[in-house]
Amino acid sequence: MTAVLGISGLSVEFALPGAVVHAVRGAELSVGQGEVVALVGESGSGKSVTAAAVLGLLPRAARITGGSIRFGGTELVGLQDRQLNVYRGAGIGMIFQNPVTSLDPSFPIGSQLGDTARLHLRVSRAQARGVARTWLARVGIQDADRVLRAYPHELSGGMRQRVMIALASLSGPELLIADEPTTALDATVQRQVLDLLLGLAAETGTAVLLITHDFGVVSHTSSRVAVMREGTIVEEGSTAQVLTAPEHPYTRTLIDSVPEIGGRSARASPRPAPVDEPILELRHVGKDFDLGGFGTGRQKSVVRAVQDVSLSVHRGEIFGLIGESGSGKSTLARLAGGLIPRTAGTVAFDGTEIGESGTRELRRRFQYVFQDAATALNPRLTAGEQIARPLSRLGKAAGRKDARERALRALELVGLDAGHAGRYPREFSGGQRQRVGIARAIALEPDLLILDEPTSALDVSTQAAVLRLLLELKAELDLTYVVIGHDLAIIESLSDRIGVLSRGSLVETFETDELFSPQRHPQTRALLDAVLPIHSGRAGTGRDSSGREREAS
Amino acid sequence: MTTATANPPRLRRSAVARFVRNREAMLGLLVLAVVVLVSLAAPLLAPADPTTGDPADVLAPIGAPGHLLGTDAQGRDVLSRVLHGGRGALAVSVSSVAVAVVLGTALGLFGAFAGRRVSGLLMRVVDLLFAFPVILVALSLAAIVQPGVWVLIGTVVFGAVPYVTRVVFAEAKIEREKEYVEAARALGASGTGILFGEVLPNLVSSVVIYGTSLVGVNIVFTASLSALGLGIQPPAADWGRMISEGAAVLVTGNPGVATFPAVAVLLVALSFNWLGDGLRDVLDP
Repeated sequence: MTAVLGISGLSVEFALPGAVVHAVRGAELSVGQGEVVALVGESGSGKSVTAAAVLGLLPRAARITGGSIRFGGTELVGLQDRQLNVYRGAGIGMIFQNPVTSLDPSFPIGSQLGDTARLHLRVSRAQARGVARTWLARVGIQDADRVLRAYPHELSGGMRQRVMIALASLSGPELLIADEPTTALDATVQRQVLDLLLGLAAETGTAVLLITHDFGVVSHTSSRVAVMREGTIVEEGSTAQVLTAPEHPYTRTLIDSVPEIGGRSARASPRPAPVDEPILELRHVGKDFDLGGFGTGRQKSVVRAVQDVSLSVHRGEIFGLIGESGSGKSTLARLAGGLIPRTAGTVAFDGTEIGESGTRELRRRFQYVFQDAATALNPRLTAGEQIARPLSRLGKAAGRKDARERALRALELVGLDAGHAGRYPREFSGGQRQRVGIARAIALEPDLLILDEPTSALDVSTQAAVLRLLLELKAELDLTYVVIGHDLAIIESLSDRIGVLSRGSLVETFETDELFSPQRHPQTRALLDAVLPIHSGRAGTGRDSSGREREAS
Repeated sequence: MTTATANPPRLRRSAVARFVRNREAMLGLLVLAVVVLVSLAAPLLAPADPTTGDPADVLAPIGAPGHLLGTDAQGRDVLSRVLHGGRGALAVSVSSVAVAVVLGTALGLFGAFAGRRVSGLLMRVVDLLFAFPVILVALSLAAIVQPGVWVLIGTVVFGAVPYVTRVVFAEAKIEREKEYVEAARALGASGTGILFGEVLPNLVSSVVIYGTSLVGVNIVFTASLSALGLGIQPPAADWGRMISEGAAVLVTGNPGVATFPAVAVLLVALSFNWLGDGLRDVLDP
């Protein structure tokens, strides 16, 4: 097989003020004709920089210091922008992570597709429109006429990524580089988009270099995989082989870090049975948001974010709340703690209705860990100060000195040390920041902790460590968790019971062991089908049958 | 890949190091330091009394014996007057901008966190203040109290508050939507606690930057008001006043009387702007 793309000994450096960062050091990679190769690694491993180097799209501070990138028979390293333009689009198509930013917001889809068609296929304006329409149909968009006239912001995330695929494919490139093409999408849409991408590539014989951090995506799509770490490829091989018998210890750690759906029964540690005593009870809770109205230039409208949700969380259990983006799970979490006012219903915490008495006692016993600690921590306060402040405020600490000591103890509990107390949030790594966020909540010794996607901003290996920490803390401090997430595998691995939210309504709640029961709601099944398992061979023989096999078992 | 206890390297230099490397900012700071020192030490440095003239030695040229920069139409030493002339302008601009910054920050913060109606009302009032001719304020103030330092302070505060309010309002509105504010609420912080304990620290840098640039603008503005006769009154030495007096003799072959104070105003205003830009690079990376 001849290689479409051959990268050898590639090194890229970033010159930052005061430091030179070697983002890529001697990367070796090749993509054969019509082959789908996955480049997988954690954030900062250099995978996106490698992809950007191929198309000469490196940021200003970066520089290729060595190696070669061959496309077909041509050496791309050292070419000027004008010469590279010959290959951009026509020879190599690029699909970016976020179609919101990579599609031009000021032009309708039709003109963006049409311009690309005219540039690369040298067709007339009228023909270009035809080409655009055919391609929209090929990427599975039915109402092509509406979409051609639409602006990017008028389309859903999945639709935008389909358009992006059409845009990258219509010039008939030999190679498509897809940089985390589905990371910004919901799980159910992710699978459709990936299948579309694979289908098109197979049809036209296009090779695909897929950059991802998700081993499920690797398993679902690629025939070969390269694992990247700190700028070098540590392991490369056929997907089946790397996933089942990884040679490099790093690959093994990465794969083991990913929670697998259906892996719950395999977990050793038995949980103490939760006491049958509700700590949090929601009765017919609803929330409407008013949009528009006077002074906004838009018609007044009401969005029902949450409607008629009733559920109870028992003391000592982990309750998982899952749903797609926009299903109202974060809003529900905020309603439960009285962070935003309810439009309907009642919430009772440990027998007392929220809103009746003061919030002081409630705040101490009812805590949150937010999704992205980068924004949930105040950037201008030190970690120690952020933990200590609520302690004195809510009367948990006797004085400033006591608050400081308790803050240090909380930091130690989450695996940081006293030296970290004087640091600002930006001086921590992502995982450490989330630990500070957790320390801030548990320092108050709460009874109930709501975890709003606590690991979605983290790398897989960091995620595993944080999840382990959460389970340890729960046992140690006798906590009750409500975990919110969109990743069914994580929710399943953590929770005792699961509630599924869809469009603001709670469609069902069930014991986690009954996840695969045939009585599950269609929405739950859709979430289950969307999961891309790493070891597809475990449950069934082929990729596509795996979902169905599991349900039957 | 970072483990829980390994620390990411500090890729940025410290704020001070970045400031020192910023050429404009350092130059601005240096010039300002010199101007402030000279203004403070003016009574010691000045070769002559800035307010008493010598009727026998009127409009001496630059480099005349005893008068390095010449004398003005009343025979007063221009060098001494330039050395003394910055004291009023600097004190007035810095203090009134400081007052305006505090007032504007309070109003902007309040507006951003108040309900929709209250904040709407407040910002429309601010719009009104923008539309109000500042010179009219100066004239009315001069009619109520005597022309002088208080007219300058009042006018600058009146003129600067709406700008600061708008800047702070816009920034605070962005901060308000950030998750850390919600987190603080979940951690039991009260409304005022969030305003001053959480949000204000995040606004300080932009307010300081903006305030620094405002001082530069208002040095020029107070000089103009003094030149119009609404500000610092004769016989006290003041750059603005000197420019207007010097303008009368500019065409008669004595350019120095107006030019030297004008250069001083320019230099100080420029320095404040450079300092403001430098601070932006340092504090708002």
